[in-house]
Amino acid sequence: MTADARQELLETLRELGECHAALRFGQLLEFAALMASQEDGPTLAEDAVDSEVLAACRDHIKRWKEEGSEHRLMPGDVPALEATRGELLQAVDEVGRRLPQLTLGQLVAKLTAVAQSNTYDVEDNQLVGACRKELGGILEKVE
Amino acid sequence: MAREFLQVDPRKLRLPWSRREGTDPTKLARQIAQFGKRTDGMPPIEVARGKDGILRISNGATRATRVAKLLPGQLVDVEVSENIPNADFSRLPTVEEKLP
Repeated sequence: MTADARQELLETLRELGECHAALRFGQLLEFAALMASQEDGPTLAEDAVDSEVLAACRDHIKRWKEEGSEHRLMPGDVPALEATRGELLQAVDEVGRRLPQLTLGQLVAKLTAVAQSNTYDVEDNQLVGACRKELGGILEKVE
Repeated sequence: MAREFLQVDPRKLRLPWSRREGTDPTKLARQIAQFGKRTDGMPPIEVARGKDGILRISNGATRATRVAKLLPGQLVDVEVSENIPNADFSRLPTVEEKLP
């Protein structure tokens, strides 16, 4: 996947996150992959085709916004879209540039494994930590 | 798409594949300690609606499990984030099947 295409997908996921502010990044990716593949299973994220995820997200965001359905947080809702999200998207982009052979789903699944979690449960800050760890490992190999 | 809210029995909701073994026991214990049987102010559970109207949780598995466990029969608010009529969620376990 080219860096530009990944950045475009990450930017679209950021926008999707604005529609569904309670979802953590891993949940957001699962949701996007679900819309794209129309089935849930053991390799939901890994099998998701970037171009299909992008198209599904765009379609969803368009319909969501047309109806003025932008997400309003409910009392007690935990906003996943915090400062961490921006940091996470940047970190995923950075790791992704070094692993261009992976789809975004494969990359996030790999990071989730590094965080010793799963795509549904993993917290955004755990993924940021996993990115740093992964990046450290990659840079060590290069040096 | 207009936002759609439903009231459903949380026991009947389907867990995502990545949570097919049931909710994280640590998170559940923490939520029970913090909220007990309280449901006032609880944010709606986000779901996707698949084939035959089956609802799969996108966010809120722990909340659904807490209510299902402590208040069996109590309905909860869910928000349908997307309709995916070709998606067959019937193979995913329900919250009830994985209640601790």
